[in-house]
Amino acid sequence: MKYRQWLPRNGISIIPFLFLIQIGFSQSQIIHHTPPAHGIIGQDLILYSASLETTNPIDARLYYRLPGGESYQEINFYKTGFNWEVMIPGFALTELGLEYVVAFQFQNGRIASFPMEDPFNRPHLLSTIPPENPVDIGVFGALPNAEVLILSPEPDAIVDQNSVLVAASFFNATNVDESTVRLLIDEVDVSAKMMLEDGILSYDPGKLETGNHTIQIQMKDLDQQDLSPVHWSFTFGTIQKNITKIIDFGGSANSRISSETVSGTPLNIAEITGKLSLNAQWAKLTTDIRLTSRESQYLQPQNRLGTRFSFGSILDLDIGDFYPRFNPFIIDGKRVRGLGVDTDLKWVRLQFIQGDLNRKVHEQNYINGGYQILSDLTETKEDGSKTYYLDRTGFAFKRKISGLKLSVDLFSKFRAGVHFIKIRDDTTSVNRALNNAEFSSDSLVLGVTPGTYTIDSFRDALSAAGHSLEAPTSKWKGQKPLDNLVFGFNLGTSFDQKKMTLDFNWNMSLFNRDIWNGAMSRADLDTALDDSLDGWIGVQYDENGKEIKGSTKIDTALIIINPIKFQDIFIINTNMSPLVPIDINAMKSHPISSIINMPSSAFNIRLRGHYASNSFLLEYRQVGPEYVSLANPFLRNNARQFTISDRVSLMNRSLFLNFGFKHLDNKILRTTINPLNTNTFFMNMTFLPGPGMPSIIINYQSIGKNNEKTKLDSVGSTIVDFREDSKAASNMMAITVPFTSGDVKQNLTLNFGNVTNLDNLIKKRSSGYLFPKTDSKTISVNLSSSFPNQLKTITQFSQTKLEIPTMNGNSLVKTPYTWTNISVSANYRLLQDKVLAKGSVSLLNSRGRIKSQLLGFRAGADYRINENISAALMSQIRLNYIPSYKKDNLDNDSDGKVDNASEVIDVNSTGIIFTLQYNF
Amino acid sequence: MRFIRNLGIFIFFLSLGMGGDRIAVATKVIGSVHYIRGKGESTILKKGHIFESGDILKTDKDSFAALIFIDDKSALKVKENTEIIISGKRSAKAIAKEINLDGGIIRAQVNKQQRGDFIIRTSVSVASVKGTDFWLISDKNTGDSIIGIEGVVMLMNQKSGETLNITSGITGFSTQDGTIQSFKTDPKTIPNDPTAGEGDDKILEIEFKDASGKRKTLIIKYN
Repeated sequence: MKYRQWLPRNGISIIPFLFLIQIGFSQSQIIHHTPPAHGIIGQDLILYSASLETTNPIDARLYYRLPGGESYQEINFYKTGFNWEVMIPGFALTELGLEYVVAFQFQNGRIASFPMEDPFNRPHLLSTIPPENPVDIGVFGALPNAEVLILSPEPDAIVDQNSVLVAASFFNATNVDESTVRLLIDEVDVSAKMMLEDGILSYDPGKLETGNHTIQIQMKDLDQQDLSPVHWSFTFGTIQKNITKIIDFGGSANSRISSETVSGTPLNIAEITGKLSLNAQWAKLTTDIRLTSRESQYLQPQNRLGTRFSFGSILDLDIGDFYPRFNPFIIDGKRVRGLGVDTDLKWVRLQFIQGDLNRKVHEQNYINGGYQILSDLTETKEDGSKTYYLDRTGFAFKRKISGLKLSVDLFSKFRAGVHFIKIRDDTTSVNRALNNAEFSSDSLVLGVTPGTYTIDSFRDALSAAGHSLEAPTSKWKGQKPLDNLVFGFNLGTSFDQKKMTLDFNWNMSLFNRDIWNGAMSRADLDTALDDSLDGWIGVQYDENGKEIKGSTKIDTALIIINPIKFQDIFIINTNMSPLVPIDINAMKSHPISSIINMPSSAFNIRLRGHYASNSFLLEYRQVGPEYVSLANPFLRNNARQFTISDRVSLMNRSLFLNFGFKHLDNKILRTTINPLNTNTFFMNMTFLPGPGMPSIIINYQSIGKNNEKTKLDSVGSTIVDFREDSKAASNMMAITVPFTSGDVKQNLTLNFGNVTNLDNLIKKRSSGYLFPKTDSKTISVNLSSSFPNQLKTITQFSQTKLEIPTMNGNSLVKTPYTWTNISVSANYRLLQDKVLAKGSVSLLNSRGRIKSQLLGFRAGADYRINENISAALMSQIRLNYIPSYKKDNLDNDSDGKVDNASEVIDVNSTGIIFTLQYNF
Repeated sequence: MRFIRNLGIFIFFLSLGMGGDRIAVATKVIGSVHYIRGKGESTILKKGHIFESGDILKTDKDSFAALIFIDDKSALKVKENTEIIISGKRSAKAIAKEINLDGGIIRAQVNKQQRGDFIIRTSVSVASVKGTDFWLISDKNTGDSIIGIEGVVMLMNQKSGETLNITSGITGFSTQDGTIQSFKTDPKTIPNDPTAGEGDDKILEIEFKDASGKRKTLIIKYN
């Protein structure tokens, strides 16, 4: 069941307003996103965001992870008229909450994000609350399992009347408090009638209706913590005979067509998604497909096609698009197109992947999207003529990946594994020359008329002017082909009846930033750091030929690996990092520290425990400054972090407290000066007394930043203040009160939030210093009502105030901006629930440097044609009203008339979206 | 008051001392099936009955019973005119099981054993398994025959001490005179398992109800 957050939906109305004030914002202000107050555990959550750019982003994605996780999962946003939407799958919403980042990438290379500052290291934390009927908890953060043995009936079995006996054994479930066991048949609690003696549960349901039935056993452990419920189903009928092979199949197909116009720019998208599953009991074949009109040869693939063949629980074979996970430091859900094999024999597991991370892209479909003149590389010959350099742009190499992971799990107590991954750009994959690609030439090219050229026409024009062209077919100056090898191991153990787990994960990377020139020989390495071919790397000599003491000295004979022979695995040359993995000088004095702090290593050690309603975490993680995994591009390097946190559930899981502390810095290398320290304290309280009762959520987070700088810096002749010692405090409180008036069931939600930034050095700053952080306050009230006649309405009021710091001359000014939104939306079911009519109207009033109003209408309907087919149609229009355009003496709508009535109001966006879904 | 409390404590410990380990559950009963506990009387067996170690189970003509052990889900199917004694010793992780078959036909579907073997003993033979599926037909006059369905059963003749491994598709014979031998299984000799379905023209009816309450029934006929 989808849980739609209506609160941020109306945030899209502020876009023109924000567009006007974005000058005062940082670059990332070009997207707007209002986070929801909370998510619901196990239920899908739709987030909304809006771009303030006039052009659409080439990539709009949401990155999410479990709080404190090392890497993110990615989902693409979908354009829905004025908004971009993304659905976080329910399994990702767990008791721990969720951290996410919204990132929009634009054609000019800009990336806008939410949160604005350091988003991937300080993602937004979304707290979660349990569903009202907590029956299905996702596997992402599943409750602890109890080893309950289903005795009868067998899951999915067809049984006759004589065999209808519900029985389960708690023989191996020693941690279950039997007094808490509840049995539900078809969601009806029959616990009072069941027998539970000596760890054996039995219940005779008597005569049942023919058809499917479900059984669920709910229970708690001895600490009164919920355990994962056991549920299965069976069919009451007559036992079948001689049907040894049953093939089930099922799936769905969705078609979506949208036609929209945003600020006069048309946008039409068609998309088909589908899923097909064939199940032959012992084997399963699942295919996922997405075909979209956004697919383009100029982008990475937007279409998806992936098939998984599962042979029992032993083998998974992936072909096409799949999302492998080795560990959070190497690859953790990044899409691969190719082949994946996962063989799991419980005690030993082998994972293998081979394919492409990126496909080849030859050029972009705009001017300078294939070639670009690099004026800086222009050379002048002795005769005065010039050689102009034309570089290739807009391409992406095919990036190949292969990897292997072997792991063992002994007696569910000891875990160990080794893994490696190899990633390399294929330099032969991109077209070396583009005959039709156009690029611009300006007046810097002497004797050639500024304009747009192809390579041939430009070469002719240069030749006519007496110049020449250098357009290499490889070793281009811009983007370089990369090579990456990552390897490592992991160890882990569980103790005290799995209540506590300890895991250690260590990885090391080799990264080459430019493999155009291939691998170096030993002799090349000898002269890589010095000019002497003397059998020593790094040894330098004075003018008399005597060795200069104190320089790095590495005997080439000690290089075990011959780079030439090793080049199939990794290309070793002077562009690799690290050149030497360990600091040899420090190794002598601090061997252990040198190994741990290798600049190209990444590791973590994590202790997790579950005791007496507490779930605690103690973790240290470090990612060296030169650690790179191209399969995990969002991993921040040069960072070490210590985390301690605890989550406590009290009052029969009605009250949850989550608090902790994180310290983050970049002091890995001894050479680091002025490290940036970030100390974060967070606290969350969620009080959910029960269905029909008011609930309260309170979040508090304090982030202190300090870069240990005590003195001012100078850039040229200018004194600049790079000192950082600040504190950002954010508070949020949400109260939900359910009540009934007459026959109308209502929910009233109040939400308060604010962010306050404090500069601890304010008394030491000069008067002209700009402390660039924005304070904000938000308040919202919404009322959702369910009427007995199938009508549901949501009424919302919200107001957000920003104080944006800017400099007015030499003085700091905080400019206030306020936007107020009122909206009403309604759903109504009719024609025996076959049709769900939807509509909404919203009004946004914004006040800042310019006043404006936005009026939006949405209308549509969902129609369930039959059990398998449903269709939906949604249309929307948004009008923009800016009264000041009436008197600004400008022709704002470019119709040749100044300050006429049509300037004041215009159609901001229109759109219509049609979707068709077929389940089979 | 103290007397009642002490009496309660006494009864509690007495019951602990007298009661056997609870080891299995009856999941299916067809026809006339009885069980005897200790020196008690024969009682009609009902679905859901929990067997204690030492219980005796008897099936009359045209009857059938199925039971499942609670530690590993090993199943025992007991055909008509059969008598068995069900024994088991509980430990923290598993139940060591032993069935004494005093004539009749049983099918044992034994899952992998955590503790020792699953032993079926007759007056003539001992079948010892770790994880398998087989039929055991015991006749007091002629001896025993084991029909292997899956896995391996070690069959031992108690008189001669000879052993034989019975695998899938093989039938082993163990006779009163101590002889033990094996042959390829004749499919016709495999007893019928009521839990796997039987008879002709079976009908499976599945009823569907849509959102408006309208009901439709899917009827599947098969042999």
